[in-house]
Amino acid sequence: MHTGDLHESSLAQLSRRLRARELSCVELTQTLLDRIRSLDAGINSFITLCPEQALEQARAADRLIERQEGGVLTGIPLAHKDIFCTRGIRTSCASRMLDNFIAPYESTVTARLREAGAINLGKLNMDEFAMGSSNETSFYGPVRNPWDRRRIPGGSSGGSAAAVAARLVPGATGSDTGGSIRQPAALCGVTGLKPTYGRVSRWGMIAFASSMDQAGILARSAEDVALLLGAMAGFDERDATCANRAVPDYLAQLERPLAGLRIGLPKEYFQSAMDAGIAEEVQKALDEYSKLGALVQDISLPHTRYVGTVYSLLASAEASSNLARFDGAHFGYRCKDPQGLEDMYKRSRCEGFGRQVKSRILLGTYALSARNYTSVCLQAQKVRRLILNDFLKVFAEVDLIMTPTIPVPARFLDRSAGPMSPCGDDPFTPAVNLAGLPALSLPVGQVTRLPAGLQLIAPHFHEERLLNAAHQFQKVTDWHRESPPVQQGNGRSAL
Amino acid sequence: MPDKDPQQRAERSSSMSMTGPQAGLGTEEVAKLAQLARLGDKGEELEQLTADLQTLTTQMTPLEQVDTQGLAPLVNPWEENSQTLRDDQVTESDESTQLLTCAPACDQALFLVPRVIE
Repeated sequence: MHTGDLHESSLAQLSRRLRARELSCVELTQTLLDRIRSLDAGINSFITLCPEQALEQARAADRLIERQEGGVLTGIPLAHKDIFCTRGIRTSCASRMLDNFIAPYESTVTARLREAGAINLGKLNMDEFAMGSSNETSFYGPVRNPWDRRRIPGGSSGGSAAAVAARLVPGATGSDTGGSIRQPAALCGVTGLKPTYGRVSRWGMIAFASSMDQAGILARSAEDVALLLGAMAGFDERDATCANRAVPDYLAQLERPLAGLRIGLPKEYFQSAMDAGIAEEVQKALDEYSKLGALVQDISLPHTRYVGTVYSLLASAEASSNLARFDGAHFGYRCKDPQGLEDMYKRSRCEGFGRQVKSRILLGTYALSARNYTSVCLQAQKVRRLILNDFLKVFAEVDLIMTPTIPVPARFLDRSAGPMSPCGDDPFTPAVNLAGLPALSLPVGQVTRLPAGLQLIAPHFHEERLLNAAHQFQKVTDWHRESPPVQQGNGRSAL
Repeated sequence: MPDKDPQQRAERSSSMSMTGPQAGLGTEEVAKLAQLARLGDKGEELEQLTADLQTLTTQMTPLEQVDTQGLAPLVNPWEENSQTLRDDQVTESDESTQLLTCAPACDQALFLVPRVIE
């Protein structure tokens, strides 16, 4: 059996080949494990690799397929952002605080994918506690962009995006609080979906900002994303924010023609300083949508100028509260030789958290403090309503909104950089989280061999509209099939 | 010429006054916040965190003069689902033994911490 080009197959193609028994799950899993060992030292997308467990799952999947049992995801190797708790496998959230944390339970997302037959190859690198948009804040070192290893892959799901782009895995989970799936998807040239708030359970996904966090997917194509979303989405009684609504058949709706689809272009997203190359690629994509029969019109989201501030304040406030649980007493890092309880709290948190996390906790503590709560936090929540109302008003006139995912290509790594604004590297993505909307980024071109992404935004619970529009574009273009140049790794390996 | 739109007027006013979340964030204030958040209170680290916080807050657009009168704060972006209740039934078994394996120090069913009362 020739396995040399397996990594180039999409998830949907691999599924068909496995079920036709042209290929075994063990062969596929071993091929990808070998590829990760060979290439990831220079990318650093994995924090933990699980070869024994993966091969054991693969053998079980082969037995199922042999009996003509299992489903479309049986035997498909995936990897998970290291924010999802996995029973018996370290879940670090890329922080020293959880460097030794082995969760005694499994997140709903990873459990559902496992029940659907998917294989877990390992846990993926990310910004510490998902706070960052460059993957430079990881305790395990930065992830490098497979298209140019001197550059960031984006973040916080940078390991997920880089691993999919480098063809180490056909799909990966991610999480998105302010753009953490869409922005790295754009910078690495893959397809990334942030579902509606409530569409996918967050049980067992380590919390950052609970009113915005959402689990999602990074894969090569909209078709692959649709396959995975069908397995992940749906009600979970253990997550009180999870929606008790039926899950549509996302695959069945991919082929709808786009004639008459109304697309809105918010003027506020096209006015700010944008790289000329990105602007050109986005325009070409919009022209392609016009050719497919979509009707493009200008719209306005007038409160866009407040998005960055509202996001920064509210995400930090929620993080400050969520991260209070890390106290050195119950789980996670504890400092050496604490001199009393107070000293244990302070030194454990001070030594366990990185600089970016501490800055955000302090900003959140500031917003939540008695003196500022009404003027800062409550006011930000009211402006958040104005931002949501902008979207609700516009969706009475259009079916989808399109914007560049990020106005510039991937920047160079710079570990000496100071504090990063909570949305410094992703100015066009946090509004979606404030409004709880679903959004998707897909590759639509390149600027000097660096990917450019287009962001599609839909009304609440209309993921099928995003996947349909992305799939129709991917049927007439090849950007999602572009691979970065292969380089043997010579950087720091975390495996 | 006076602005007809109160929102426009508020934005003009706020952008000129430069007041906003950044007001009053000196080392003393940050030290107090660090104490509340149980984070570092050592000189060098505190200086760095003060500088970080000042950088973060000075990048912000002032919000206090946006007209939000009559608006309820938005806490949950999908409000239809903001009050999910479930039956008051025991659904999880006692997993205290497993959870204690994650503790930095424990003794039988107790988390161990440094002595609190001398």
